[in-house]
Amino acid sequence: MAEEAGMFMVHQTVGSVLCCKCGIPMAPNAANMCVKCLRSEVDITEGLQKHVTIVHCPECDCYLQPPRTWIKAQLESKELLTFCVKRLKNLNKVRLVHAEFIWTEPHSKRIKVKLKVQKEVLNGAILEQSYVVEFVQQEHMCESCSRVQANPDQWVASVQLRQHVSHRRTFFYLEQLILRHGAAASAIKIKQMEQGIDFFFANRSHGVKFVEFVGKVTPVRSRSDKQLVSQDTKSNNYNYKHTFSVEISPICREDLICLPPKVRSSLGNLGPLVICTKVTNSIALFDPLTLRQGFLDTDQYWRYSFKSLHTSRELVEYIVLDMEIISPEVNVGGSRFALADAQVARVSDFGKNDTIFNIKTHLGHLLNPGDYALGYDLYGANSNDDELEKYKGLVIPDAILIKKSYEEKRQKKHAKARPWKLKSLGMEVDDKAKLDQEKVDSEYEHFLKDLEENPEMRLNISLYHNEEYQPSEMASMTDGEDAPSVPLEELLADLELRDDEDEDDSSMRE
Amino acid sequence: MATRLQFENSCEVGVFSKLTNAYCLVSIGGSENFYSTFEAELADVIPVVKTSIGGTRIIGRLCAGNKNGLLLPHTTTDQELQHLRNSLPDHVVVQRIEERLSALGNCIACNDHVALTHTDLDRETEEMIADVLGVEVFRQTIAGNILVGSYCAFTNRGGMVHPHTSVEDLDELSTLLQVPLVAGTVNRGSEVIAAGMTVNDWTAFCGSDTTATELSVIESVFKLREAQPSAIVDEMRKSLIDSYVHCDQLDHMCHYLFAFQW
Repeated sequence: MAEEAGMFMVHQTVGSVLCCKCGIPMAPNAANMCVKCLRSEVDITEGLQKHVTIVHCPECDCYLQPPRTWIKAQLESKELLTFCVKRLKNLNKVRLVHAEFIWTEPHSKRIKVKLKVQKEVLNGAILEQSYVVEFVQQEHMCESCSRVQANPDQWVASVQLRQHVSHRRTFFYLEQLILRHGAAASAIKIKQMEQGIDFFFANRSHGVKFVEFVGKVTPVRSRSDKQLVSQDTKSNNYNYKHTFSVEISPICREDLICLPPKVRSSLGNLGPLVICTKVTNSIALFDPLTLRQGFLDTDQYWRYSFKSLHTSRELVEYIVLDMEIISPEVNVGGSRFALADAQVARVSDFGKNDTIFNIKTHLGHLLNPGDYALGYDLYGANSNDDELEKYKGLVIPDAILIKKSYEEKRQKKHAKARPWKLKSLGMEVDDKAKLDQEKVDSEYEHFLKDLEENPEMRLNISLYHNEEYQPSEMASMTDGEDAPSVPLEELLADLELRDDEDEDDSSMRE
Repeated sequence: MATRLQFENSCEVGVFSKLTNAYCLVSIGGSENFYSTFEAELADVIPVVKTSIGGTRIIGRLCAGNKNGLLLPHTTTDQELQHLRNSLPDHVVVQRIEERLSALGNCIACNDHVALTHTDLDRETEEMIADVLGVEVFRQTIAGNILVGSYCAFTNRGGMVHPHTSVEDLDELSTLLQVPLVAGTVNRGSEVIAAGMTVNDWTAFCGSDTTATELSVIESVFKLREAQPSAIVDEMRKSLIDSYVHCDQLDHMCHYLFAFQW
C-alpha cells in the first residue's frame, strides 16, 4: 500500500534462524522450529481414531449409519468415503484437507482411508500430516434383509389373537391400526385363523411388545405360556417357545347389551339395555332411552365378562313413518343426539301387514319420516339371555334404532370403486380355517361402509389415495343429501415404490 | 557463560530480573533459588539487589538501565526508590521518570553506549535517557514490533533480535548499535528475547526451556565463552575511543561471519 502511494520501501529479505531444537538454518516461523522437529514434538493426529468398526450388511451392501439408517454404497465410491469420514470422531478439532481410499482386497473386510489433516500448533504454526484409518467391516444383516432371510417356521414367540364372535370386523379394524403403527413390523409370519389371527415372532420381546400394543387399543385379556424346546444344563441355556393367548372382548361397536345388575349399579343405573358406541382399551356404553353414557375399562369388563344380547349382524331395516322430537339436541361424548318419539315399521313387513311400532329413539336429529334406519327387532327376537331374565318387570321396547341406513342411496349411486383404499397385512390363510370368501368380502365391504359413515373411526387409520379411481359424472350429478363418503383431503398419497405397488394391488380386496 | 534457570516455574527470567554491567536487580520471589543463582554467579563482581517496583515483581519489564544509571517508572514508590539508591553503587544514577508508557523495560533496550526506544516516548523522556544512561538514543522498531525492549537484547559485545527480523533491518540495527547482531530465539522458540533472557557483557541467564542450540547461539553472539568478569571490568576502564576502534573492526567481521554462516 505504501509502495502504491509512491513511498520508498526498503526491500525486505527474509533472514534465517536456527531451528531451536536441531540447529539447522531455516526461515523463521511461528514455532521457530524446523518441520521435522515440530513433527517430532507434536503429533496432530493424536486423539484421532485410527481404527473404526463399521457395520456392513452383506446381503444388500449397506452400511449402518447409527442409530438405524442404512446407507447403500459401493466400495471406493464417493458415498462410502463420505460415510467413512463421517464416522470418525474428533475430526472437527483438525481441518481435513484430503481423503482417499487405499486399495484393499474386497474380502479382507477392511477399508483403508488416507486422510490429510491440518492443525494449528505451538502459537500459530500450521502443521499438515497424513495418516491412514483402518475401517473394519463387521458383517451384520440389516433389519429388512434379516426379515427376508428369517425362516418363518423357526419362531420363538407366537401371539394368538382371538375374538369369539361371528364376524371379523374387529380384525379388519385392528389390521389397519397395526399397519398404521407398524406394530407387526417384526413379525416373521402372520396367519389368519378361525376367529382370529396368529402372529409369529423371532424374539420373545417382539411378541411382548406386540401384546402390549394390542392391549392399548382393545380390551384384551392375555396369558402366556412357554414350552421347553431344548436345554443345556452345563451352560445353563434353555430354549423356549413362548405362546401368548390374547382374547379380545366379544363386545363390538353397535352391539346391544343387557348389563348385569352389578355393572348396571356400578355405572349409576345405566340401562340395562345399552348400545356399545365405541371400543378402544375401554368400552363406551350408551343408553338410548336416557341419553347417558358410561365407560368400562379393560379390568372392569373382564371382571364381569358379559356377552352382547344382539350383534350388528342381526340388525333389521326399518322405515320411519313419523318422528316427533321430545327433547332438544344434546352432546354426549362428542356426538349429538336428540330424543324423539318415532313410529316405525319393518321394511320386511311393508305391504304385508300393518305392524307399526311406537318407540323412543336417540336419533331424532338424524331421521326424518321416510328415512330408512337399522335397528334391533326386540319384538320379534327370541332372546334367551340370562341377564335379561334377572330384571323382573323390565319393559323391553319393541325396537331399538342404531343408525340411519344409507342402503338406498348407495344402490342408486352404483359406484363400485372408492376414491380411497386401505393397505393390508400380508396374511397367510390357514387351510383348516378356510373361510367362506363371499362372507369375508361382504364383511369387508361392510367395514368400508362403516369407515365412510364414521369420521371418528377414520381418525386412527391411514387411508390412501386410489389412483385407479375415476370419478364418474353421474355421481356428481346426484342431488340433495348424499351418502357419506371420505373427503379427499383426508387421504394420504401412497409411497411410489413400483414393486411394492404390485404387491399392494394383488392383496387389495376391493 | 550462560546459565539456565526458572523463576517459580516460569521460564521468563528476563521479566523478573535486570542485569547490567554494574548491578543486578532480582525480584522478591517465594523461594531463594532464583536469587541465589544470581548471587552465585555475580556476588564477587557486582551487587545483586532484591527489590520490587511499584509493588510488582515484573521488575525486568518496568525498569531500564546500564552501568551508568537506572530509570524507574512513575509507579515506583519512594521507599523502593530509596532502597535502590542505598543498594546500588554510588556512580549509578537512579532516576524516576514521569512517562506515560510505564513499562520502561519493554520500551527501552540499551547497552552502555546506545539505546533503542519505543517510537512514541516523550521528548523529555528521551532526553532523560540520554542524560541518565549516557547513551545515544534511536527510536526504532524491530521486525515491525514497537516494543523494542521486549524483542531484542544486546550488550556492548553483541545482540540478539526477533527471529523475523529481515536481513536489511539486521544490517541497519547493527550499524546503529555498532555491535554484531543475530536473529534468534530463546526458551525453545520464543521470540520475546528480552523476556526469556537477561544478559550483560560476561554472563547471561536464560529460561530453563532454552535448548542447547539456542544457548550456543547466545554464547557465541554475546561472546560469553572468552569473557571473564575481571577482563571486562579492566577493559571498561580503558578509554572510550580505544574500545570503539577495537569494537568496530571486530564487530564488522563478526557480523558478516554470522550473516553468511546462518
